[in-house]
Amino acid sequence: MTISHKNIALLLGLFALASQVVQAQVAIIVGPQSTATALTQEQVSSLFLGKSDNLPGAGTALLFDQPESSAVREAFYTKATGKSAAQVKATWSRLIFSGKGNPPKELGDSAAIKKAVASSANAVGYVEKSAVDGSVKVLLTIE
Amino acid sequence: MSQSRVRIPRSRRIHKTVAIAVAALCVGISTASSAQDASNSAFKLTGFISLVGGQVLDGNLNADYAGFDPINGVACPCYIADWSNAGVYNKNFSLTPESRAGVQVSYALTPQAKVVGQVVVRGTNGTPDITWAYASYKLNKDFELQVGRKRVPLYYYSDFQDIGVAYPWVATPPELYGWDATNYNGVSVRYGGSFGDTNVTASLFGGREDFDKSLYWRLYGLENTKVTWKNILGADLEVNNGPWTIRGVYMGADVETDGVLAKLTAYGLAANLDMDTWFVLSEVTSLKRESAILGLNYSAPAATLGVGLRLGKWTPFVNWAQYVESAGDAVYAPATFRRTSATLRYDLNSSSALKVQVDRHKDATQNLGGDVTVLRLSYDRVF
Repeated sequence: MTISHKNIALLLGLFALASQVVQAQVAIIVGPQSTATALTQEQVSSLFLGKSDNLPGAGTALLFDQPESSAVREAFYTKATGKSAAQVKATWSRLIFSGKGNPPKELGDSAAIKKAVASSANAVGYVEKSAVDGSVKVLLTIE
Repeated sequence: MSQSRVRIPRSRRIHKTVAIAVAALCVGISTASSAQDASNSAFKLTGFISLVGGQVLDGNLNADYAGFDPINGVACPCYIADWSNAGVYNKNFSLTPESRAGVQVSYALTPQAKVVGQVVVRGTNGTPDITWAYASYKLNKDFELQVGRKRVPLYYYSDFQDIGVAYPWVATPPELYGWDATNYNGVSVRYGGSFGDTNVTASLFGGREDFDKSLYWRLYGLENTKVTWKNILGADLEVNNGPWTIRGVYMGADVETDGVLAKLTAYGLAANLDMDTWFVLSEVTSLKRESAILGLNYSAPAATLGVGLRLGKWTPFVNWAQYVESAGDAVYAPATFRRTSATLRYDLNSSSALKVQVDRHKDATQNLGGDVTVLRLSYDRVF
């Protein structure tokens, strides 16, 4: 009995881990007509932390964010920038209050982000990898 | 004037109350409007508040203490926490030396042009203070022109010195951050570019600042000192690559204090390393003031070095800083002080934090408040 319980627990644990890994895959997306070239993780981090506003191949970047409480936003910032939500906000506060940057526009969900990036040549956003479809182009996938 | 509590006249206190009420109202408005409405509109309203309370736990004035007592109406031993705004703590717990609130509005006229204004009220100064008021125009992908009132970008944190959530200390180290002028009216050109994974920003700035009643000079017992920083001219360069951010700055100005001219020259270098789970902040400045009229010639190198850990919502941080004046004349008695501090920050959520900090301040020349141990608590929020 105890062994099977343990096995079940182990299985559940593995399943939870596997589903987390699947959920945690984040795709950095632009519109199908965007001239933006492939991005490195370092460049994605620079854009979303306001260190650079240049989307290579497409000029000044227009950034879109997922809702603050969403799992994909947390996964994106943790993996792409290594920063917590509070650290990201602190970083942007420096730029906002010194007039040096425009923070990403927050939209309601992945569908809204896909629509927004598809309609603007210099736009860039991120969605769960599973939400990627033909309306957008993937520049980088973060595991 | 011997008691700190009577420093702010009643009428000013009412002004301050009104201003804080306006700020609170703005919080309400900005919270009420949905995030989407705010982000789609050309008009943006943001703000910040820092409630800071503190007191000297333990202090000592040596028998050979040669400084003022009280300093700006605060009995010593005491701690000068904010030089620019004359914020001083002593054994009585106080919220006035460093508490502040500000509101910033920005309006995008076109995708290239915007106007930005920021007003701050402080515990030390009931009159709302215009810290930013400028128009900016993006000349092209890399260059931006800004005209109007801005912060003097002498130090790494100067531009966002009032934004408590932006740094790990309760306040930026006063050994560096704290001169008579913090803002200027003028012009700046800013460059921002990227080369692979290296990000570069640079700026060239020039202008002047005038004020009639310097708060800074109150620390030296002078009530209504008129200060002008003329011919401010400077440049800075910041380079970021991966975990490294390095910034260099040069600035010169002609400073007139109650009619007495002095030439100010400053160089600064900041190096920050951010390894995500731990980080290092460091900054050194060399600042000189020379006055032919007074025969005054002093230099004031200052340095700060801090190391922090990020443990989820907690950020413990330790810091060391020092300010060493030397004067090549007999007119001026130089001051030297050193400080070690330990801060613990807790992130309440993504836009607010609580901090507690203990400072051990050594007034080596015994002429600026004495040796003190200070305890401070802060609540910082942006909205």
